[in-house]
Amino acid sequence: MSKGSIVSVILCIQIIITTGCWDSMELNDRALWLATGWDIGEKEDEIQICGQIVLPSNMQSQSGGSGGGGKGESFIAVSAKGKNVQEALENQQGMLSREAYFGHRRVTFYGEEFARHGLKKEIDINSRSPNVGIRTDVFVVKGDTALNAMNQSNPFENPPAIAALKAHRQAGGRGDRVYLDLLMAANSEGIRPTIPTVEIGFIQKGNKEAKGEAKKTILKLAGLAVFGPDLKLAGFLNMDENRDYLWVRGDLQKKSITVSFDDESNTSLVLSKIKGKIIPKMEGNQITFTVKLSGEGGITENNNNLDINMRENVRTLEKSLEKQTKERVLATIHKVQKEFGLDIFGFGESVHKKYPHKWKKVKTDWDHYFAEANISVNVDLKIRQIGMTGPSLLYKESEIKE
Amino acid sequence: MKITGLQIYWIMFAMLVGNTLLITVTPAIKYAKQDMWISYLIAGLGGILMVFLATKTALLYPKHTLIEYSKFIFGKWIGILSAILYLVYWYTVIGNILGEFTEFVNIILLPNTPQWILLLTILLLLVYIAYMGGIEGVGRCSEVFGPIIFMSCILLIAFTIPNLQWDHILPVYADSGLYLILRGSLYPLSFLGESVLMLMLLSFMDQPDQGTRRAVWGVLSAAVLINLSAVSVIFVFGSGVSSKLKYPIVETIRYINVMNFIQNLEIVAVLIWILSLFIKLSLYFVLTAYGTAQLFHIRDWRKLIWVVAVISFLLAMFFSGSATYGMEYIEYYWLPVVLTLNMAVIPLLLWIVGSLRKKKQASNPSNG
Repeated sequence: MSKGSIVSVILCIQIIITTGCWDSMELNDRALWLATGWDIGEKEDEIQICGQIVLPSNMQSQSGGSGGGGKGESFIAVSAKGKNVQEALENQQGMLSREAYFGHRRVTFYGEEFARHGLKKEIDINSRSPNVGIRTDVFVVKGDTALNAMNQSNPFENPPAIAALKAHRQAGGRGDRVYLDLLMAANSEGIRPTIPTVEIGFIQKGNKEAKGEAKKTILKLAGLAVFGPDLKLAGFLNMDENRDYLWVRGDLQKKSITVSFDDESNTSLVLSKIKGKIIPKMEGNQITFTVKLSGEGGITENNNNLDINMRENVRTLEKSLEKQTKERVLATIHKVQKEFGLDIFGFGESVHKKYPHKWKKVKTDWDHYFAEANISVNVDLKIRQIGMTGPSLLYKESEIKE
Repeated sequence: MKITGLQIYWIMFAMLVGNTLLITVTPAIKYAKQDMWISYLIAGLGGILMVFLATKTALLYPKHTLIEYSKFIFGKWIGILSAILYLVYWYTVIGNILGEFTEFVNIILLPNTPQWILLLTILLLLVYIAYMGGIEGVGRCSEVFGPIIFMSCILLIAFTIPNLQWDHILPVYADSGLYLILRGSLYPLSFLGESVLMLMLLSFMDQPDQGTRRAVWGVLSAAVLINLSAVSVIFVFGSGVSSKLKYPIVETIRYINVMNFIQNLEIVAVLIWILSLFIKLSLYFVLTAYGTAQLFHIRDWRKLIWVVAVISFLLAMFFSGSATYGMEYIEYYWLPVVLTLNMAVIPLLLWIVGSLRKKKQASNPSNG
């Protein structure tokens, strides 16, 4: 045989052994796993893992809109117990005819009890497994278990796990950066981790006699969970405080501010360009912080008699918005200082960046310094648009203040 | 077998980018924290110095390879000893890289495929290019792969920009200090120092006098690109998280999400890495076979390709047998022996002694 034919024989053999048959995995052998829920099990040191898995057959019939037949849900939530995730999965795999595939996991839920026990010794697999990325949205289920949260169906999203992620984005939060934020905070001395929370609530709030469809519950955003040492849940903040928190950190995407202008009327400003920054100042051993918040936006609602075509009136509105925003943000910061004494805003991190040498002296006892720290807030709001009317159309000419 | 100046540029560039990015980022961040860009800067300068030294040394005898002229310069026995030192380094590094290759592909792509299959496929490819193309084949391959690697790296860096948080790089210098920065720079330096292969490569060039310029440019552009990509890891993950990741670059690329549409790009990273690795391996492969042939005075160096293939297969099976051998190889052999002896001390000695000999020859040519 000539040289050429030897080489071609070798190449042909290579085709046979490089088909990758060892790792061939057909789509219909895979259970697409969209969300993971973590709860504590009944026994000590046992956890319960639940997963939301796509049911592809039901998904098709629903999007076709033909009704009939595929009336079932397009997802299934399965759960199993074990010492850790791997063991739970092993126990769980028995019910699944397909291999669980985590490449599409987008959301993770932690039950409140589980979060109180601490995440530090549990969630390593989230970043060790080569299939799942660090880009994940994480929620703590306030007042309930992750399993219950994952059983909630959603009228818009199918399968529903995506709903929490989308709602989170709509609310102007951190979205799927949360898990990375959690990891970075866990690795830093100057900031404490936080995770947004969801809760199970009724679709129609306040309608006590609701029946049928109106009585349904839904998963909705609830605010923020604050974590302390060893990644143990320390407490909750509500939705407004959560926005203040994100604003201080400079992570907020959307926000509307509603303030009462005088005793009887109120005004709303929807912000688009939002910035937040922490500026530390160290004199001797005294650390003071200035939080600089700024935003631009448009007035969407102005229930008073001001003609906001006028420059002074706009300025008056801005002043009043700034003043009340400042008070609210300060109240949130003070609440965190008093109630938790945990630096979730990253004030310590800002000291670390600006005064790295002095930081080394205070970092071991930073939470204590933070609780005592003197923090002031500067708010700078700009009204750029006022909408389709100048003064409100509901006021007579004589009532309008120019 | 002749290669052009442009091919030297692309060989240098392509062989350095892949493995340096994959392997050196974690240890560099572990020591230098967020100041690792300074480490990479130092390593880049050091790498350029090394390749400059290597080409200058090789230019003393532009018609001969390292194996030959080390005998001219040091005399027979010391020359053979230093040639053997280089061959040990080449044989083991092929085995080590192949082991890393199988481990990486096993983790990221094909978890169930047996290692020997992965090894065999890439080895057959290497044998093929070495046998059919020789050093010329490697040069032409790198002319094709080099630009692909370059463009993909730039593209990936561009996609990462929305994820960057610039303040992760602060505070500068305060958390690490000079010693730790230098310690961190050893890893990238030892990988950029693989450009010391110019000691051998130069003899294959059609215009050896171009060698220094082209090789230095190759190392320089690789170093710049590596530094940009490596520092983007810090900007995305911060030093705390990234120092614990096994393949921080892959994780950074996996984190890319442009408009919820362009995601899961790590497969591009794998592609870049395999292309770069292929250039590096094939270069080592050809030079090892060629060098062994010259050491033992075997006329047909191609026969030795099979020897190299078998030895590197066995070594690779050994290296991929444990998750920790790769790092131990770097800690106990690569840094203390290869980086100091093969990349710095021997080239320096060769250059000093060689230049002295040349001068002596020039002053009294009768002794020739």
